[in-house]
Amino acid sequence: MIAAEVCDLGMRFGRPPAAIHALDGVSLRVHRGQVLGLVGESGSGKSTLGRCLLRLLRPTSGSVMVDGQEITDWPERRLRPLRANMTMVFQDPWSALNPRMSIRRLIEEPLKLHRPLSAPTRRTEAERLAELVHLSRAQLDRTPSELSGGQLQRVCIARAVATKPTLIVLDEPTSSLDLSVRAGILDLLHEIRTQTGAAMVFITHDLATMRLIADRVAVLYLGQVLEEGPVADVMGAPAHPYTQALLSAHLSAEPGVRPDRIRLTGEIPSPVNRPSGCPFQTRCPLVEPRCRSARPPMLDAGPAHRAACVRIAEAANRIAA
Amino acid sequence: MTLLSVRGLHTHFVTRDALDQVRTAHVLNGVSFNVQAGRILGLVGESGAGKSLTMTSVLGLLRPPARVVAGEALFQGRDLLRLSQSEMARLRGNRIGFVVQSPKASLDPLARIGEQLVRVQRAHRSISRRAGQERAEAMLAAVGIPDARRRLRAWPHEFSGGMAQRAVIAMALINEPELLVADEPTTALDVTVQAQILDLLAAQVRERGIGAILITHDLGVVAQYCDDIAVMFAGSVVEHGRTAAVLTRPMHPCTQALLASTPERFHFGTGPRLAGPPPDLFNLPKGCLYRERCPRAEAVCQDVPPMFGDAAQSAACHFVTAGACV
Repeated sequence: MIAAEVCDLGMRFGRPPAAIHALDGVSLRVHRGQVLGLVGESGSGKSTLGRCLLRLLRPTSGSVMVDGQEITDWPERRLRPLRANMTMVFQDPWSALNPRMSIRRLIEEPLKLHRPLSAPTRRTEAERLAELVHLSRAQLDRTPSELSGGQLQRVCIARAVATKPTLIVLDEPTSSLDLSVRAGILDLLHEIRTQTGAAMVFITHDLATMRLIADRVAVLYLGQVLEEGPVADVMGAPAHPYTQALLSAHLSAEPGVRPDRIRLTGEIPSPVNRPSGCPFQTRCPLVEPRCRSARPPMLDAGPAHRAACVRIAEAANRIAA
Repeated sequence: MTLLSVRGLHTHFVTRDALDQVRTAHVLNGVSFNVQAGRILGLVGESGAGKSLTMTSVLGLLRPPARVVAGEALFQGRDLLRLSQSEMARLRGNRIGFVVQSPKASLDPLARIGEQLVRVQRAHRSISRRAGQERAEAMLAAVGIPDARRRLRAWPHEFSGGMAQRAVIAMALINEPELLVADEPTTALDVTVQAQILDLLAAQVRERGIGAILITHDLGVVAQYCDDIAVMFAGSVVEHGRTAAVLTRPMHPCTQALLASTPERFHFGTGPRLAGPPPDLFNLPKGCLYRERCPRAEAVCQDVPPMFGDAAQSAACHFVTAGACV
């Protein structure tokens, strides 16, 4: 069952000639119980896509469907009851929580807004949620300043699942946390995913984390999806030259594991002056004249695995390291 | 050859609480490590372990209420911790180069790149502006900035993050230091750019035969770029050795937990995880500082602080004997 879907989504900030095309022709879907990973470097549009999905932003073109309803142009008032169905966890738990509220009030807040519970039931439900994210009863009476970053992120996750949403967008939920704390949060997300059956959109720049948590993955670059498919296929046999370069730039924590590195020169072009044609043409070692003339279509690179590179048709899309 | 030898470094924060009682936070508790010429030492640990503070202590960049209270840091036969402010200022940026996490914050926004590279040189040696500009151009080219002559006239805001970090590395190297300290030099950069910058740093260290300290929380950076590693916890080094040896056969339970948390070795729902709060630095427990989190802790850990052995790889743990893992 499709939990959310975007079609030909575009998001433009500002006006020409200084307009930034944060998203351009993005089409993706995520099913119930599935984790869709969005990877990309800074400026690739992954956070903008997450925000458009939840209609925290109104896209400038294309459509957004959540739970079978097209919500692209819904006004905020109409979206409000739907907010219980689609929630978000942010990167920085310190700024996501009101520092003056107790943890109990913070967890009860979404319940109060969206679920008609009596005060005692709500209290019990908050305690159940705290238990779900492995917070102690005593911690419920603390304020955010008394908790660690990992514990605060648990509070954010409890708030995000409180209303039993069908879609949860997690924007770099582990990036601001220490390695060991991160491991605990990943454990928790894994549990929650099996228990709630919600669809998750997991935004990260960390490929190793992505490999652990996602079922499907979409690789973004300059606001476009360059590759999409099952995580094992995309990570195991990346079809797009950019994905190949991105994967080979990952530094393994295993000594001696050093894949032949594909060295890219230069950096991501500014989203104001995007090249026409393939967005990756300025750094691609396989670039040809036809890459500059038209935007490459998504071609099949395997079962349920597609990538936007013209060379896939001739099976000439591998970069020799 | 040992270039820098830090021994028993203790740094305290002396503060007053609401009742005006003096409170002392023991933020560094006897940090010891060596840096060899021509090699890169990775200083790793979680946030708050004292990695950056170790280097600011050694480089004389501490500000009150932080204060070095004991230890030594021998560099070219001199104890850096006993130098005056002005003696230290003559070494920093000259014999010791320093690269920090945010390249944009370490460049003067109101001076052209070339001018900044000339300033660093003229602060430490008598050189004409013209000669300084020429050396600056050569240095920018050496760190992989294309069209270096024209870039001398660029302003910092015209540089991308990766380019700015290259310029900062050029500034750190232009006086041909013997030691380079880089504090999370690539944390603010994208992965495809991170590899470019680390390749550059490593190549410069090898070419010039200088020693380097790379502070990072990323074990991937250590595994791929550092020759040696020192793992920090609660203001002290708990394990040190050759990188390949420590990462394949970690001795200290802290190193083991850290490695088990890396995505490469991670399995859902299985430990060991570093858990619980770090020790209270205001009331430092006696014995092993790691014992609250340690699955192996026994009575001896309550009372006796563990000591390092002399082996090439060694860990401050009571249960490590003659190179065996815990």
